[in-house]
Amino acid sequence: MTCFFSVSRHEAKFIKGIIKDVLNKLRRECLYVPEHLVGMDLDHDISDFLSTATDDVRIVSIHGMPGIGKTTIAKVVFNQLDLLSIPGKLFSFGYQ
Amino acid sequence: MTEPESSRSRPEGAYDVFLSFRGEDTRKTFTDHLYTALVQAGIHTFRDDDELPRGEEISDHLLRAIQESKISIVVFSKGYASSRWCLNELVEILKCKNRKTGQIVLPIFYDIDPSYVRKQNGSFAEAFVKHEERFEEKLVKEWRKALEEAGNLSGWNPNDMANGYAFSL
Repeated sequence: MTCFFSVSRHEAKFIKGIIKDVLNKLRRECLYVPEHLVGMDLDHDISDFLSTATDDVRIVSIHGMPGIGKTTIAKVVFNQLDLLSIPGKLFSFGYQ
Repeated sequence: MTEPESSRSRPEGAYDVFLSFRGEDTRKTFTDHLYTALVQAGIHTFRDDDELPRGEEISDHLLRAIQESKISIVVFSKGYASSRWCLNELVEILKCKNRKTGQIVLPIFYDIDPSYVRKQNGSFAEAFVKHEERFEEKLVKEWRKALEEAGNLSGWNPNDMANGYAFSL
C-alpha cells in the first residue's frame, strides 16, 4: 500500500507538470489586446511580409512615435499568425 | 501532403489536445488521470478509445479531431506498438506536426524507455514481428518511421530524474 501511495503521489505531481506545460503552450499562443481596436486591417501587410510560403527567417520592424500602437499591432499579428500555429514563431520586443 | 484550405482555420469545437494512448495499458490508470486533470484545467481534450470497433482505415471523425487539435499528447506504453490503430493515429499526428501549420506533439514515455520507441526494442520489437507477418511492408515501414521520429521528440518521462520526478511501476 505504501508503494501504491508513493506511485500515485508521484504520478499526480507528474501530471501536474504536464498540465502546466500544456497550459503554457496553449496560452503562449494568444496575447492580450483590447477589444474594438481601430485600424488593424492594415496588419495584412505585415502578415504578407511574414508569409509562410518560404522557410526563411522573417523579421519585420515596426517603428513610429511612442503610443501610436506599435506593440499592439505586433500583438495582433502574433495572434493572427497563431491561428496557423506556426512552429518556432518568436515574438520579441526591441526598444531603442 | 498538401493541406486543404478549410483545415487551416480553427473551427468551432476544435480541440486543444488530442490524446493518443493504448487503452489496454493505461485507459483506467494514467491516461484517465491525465484526461481528468486536463479537463479540470479547462483544456478541451479529445480522448480516443481504441477499443471501439473500427474499420481498416482511420475514420474521418478521428482524422478531423487530430487535424483540428493544437497539441497531440501521445502516451507511449509497453503495448502502444501492438495496436495498429495507435500506430495509424501516430502517423497522422506526425503528418500534422510536419505541416507548415505544425501541431505541437508531446510524447509521454510511460514506464517505457524512449529508446524502445525510437528503435522499436523490447515489447515494441515483439509487436513488430507480428506486424511484419500480417501487414504489407510499406505500412510497417511507415509505422517504424513514425515511432523513430516520435521517440526523438522531447517529452515527458516519469522516470526522468531531470524533470524532478522519478517513479517506476
